[in-house]
Amino acid sequence: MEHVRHDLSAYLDGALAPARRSEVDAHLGSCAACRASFAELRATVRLIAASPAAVPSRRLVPALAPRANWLRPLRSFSAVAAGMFVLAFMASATLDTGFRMGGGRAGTASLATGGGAAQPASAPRPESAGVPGAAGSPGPQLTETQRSSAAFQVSPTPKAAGEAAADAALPRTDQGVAGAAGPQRAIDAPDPLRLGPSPWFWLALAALCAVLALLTHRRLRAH
Amino acid sequence: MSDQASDERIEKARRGDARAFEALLAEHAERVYAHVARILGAGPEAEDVVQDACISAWRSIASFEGTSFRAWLFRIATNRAIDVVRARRRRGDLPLEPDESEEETWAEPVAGGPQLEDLAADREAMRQVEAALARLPAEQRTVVVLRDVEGFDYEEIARITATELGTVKSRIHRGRLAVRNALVTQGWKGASG
Repeated sequence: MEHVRHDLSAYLDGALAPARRSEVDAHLGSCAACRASFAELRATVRLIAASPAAVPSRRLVPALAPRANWLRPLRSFSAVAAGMFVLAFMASATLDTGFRMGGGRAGTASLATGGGAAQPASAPRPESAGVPGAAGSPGPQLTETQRSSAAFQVSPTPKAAGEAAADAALPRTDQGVAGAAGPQRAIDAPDPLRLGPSPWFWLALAALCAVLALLTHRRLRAH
Repeated sequence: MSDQASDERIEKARRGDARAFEALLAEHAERVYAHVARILGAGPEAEDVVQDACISAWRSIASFEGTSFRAWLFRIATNRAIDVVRARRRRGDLPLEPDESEEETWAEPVAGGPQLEDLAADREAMRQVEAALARLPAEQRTVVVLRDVEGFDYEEIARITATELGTVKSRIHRGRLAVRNALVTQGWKGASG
């Protein structure tokens, strides 16, 4: 009996002519040795197919299309702008904080030298001082910042400081009398010495530019 | 990627659209590299061959008239890889091709070892398969990989490697047999049938 081992690969791949395929079929039905060889070959093919593929260490597709030349300067510009906005944020935040702290001290100092008229503002807290109008209903309480801001507006002369202190105390008395909780004049007054927009505005711009720089960088890297 | 989208890209690339061609290359480049790495060994040389093949394909895309871009790209890359193999042979880095008219031999399995069918999850076995493939003559290894890993049929392989169909058939069979013999001599048992 003639073995068919030589044709087993082509048989496995369906690459034999129909007549030869029938012959191999018939032979495999009756020859255990060729059947075993066929099974080994099939297992070998599966192992080869499962062998791991190498992975390239770099990009293989060459850059054939012309690149967008404006991406590079855009990346540089947005990176620099992001840095400048961070600086602006830091400067703005520092000035803002310094102003608030310095403003608070100046207000207290000027109020302290304001004589008798300044007494209500430099005196202990209104609720503990027993302001007559506040006894019946608790008027709105000023935060430390609001008090210092209100006081800062009137610091130039002791006289003005005294008036401001009186103004600051006035709503409490008024509200105490009227029993209403309306907004205070000192809270609503805009801060005249704030430098530009809020520091968070600069930080938001910095973040925006940083994202833009990152995106353009990634796009350039992809090319 | 659908065949239709690929066909559109091929058409655009033939009209000179470099971006469409880059997208086409990106679909196939890693597989082509894996194939070339199996012929030459993984590393910068195989990567250079793939990049050269990509550039060469771009230069001749206008003349592409085949039905399979993938087979065409594999043909260009395979030819370049085989050129490198021949250059190595000329330098004496590789042995000459064995005589293909030699009688085929089937090594006898050793009783008691694991069956070949059970080896797919065995790392050591996979290393042996890779080593056995690496020991095959480059031309044999090329057709075995094109058939068993990439799934090209015999006619496509004959076109890719520019060889006769009978030669392809014979090389595939001998290559598989060599890998099977390498595994069997390592103690793995052939199937019982």
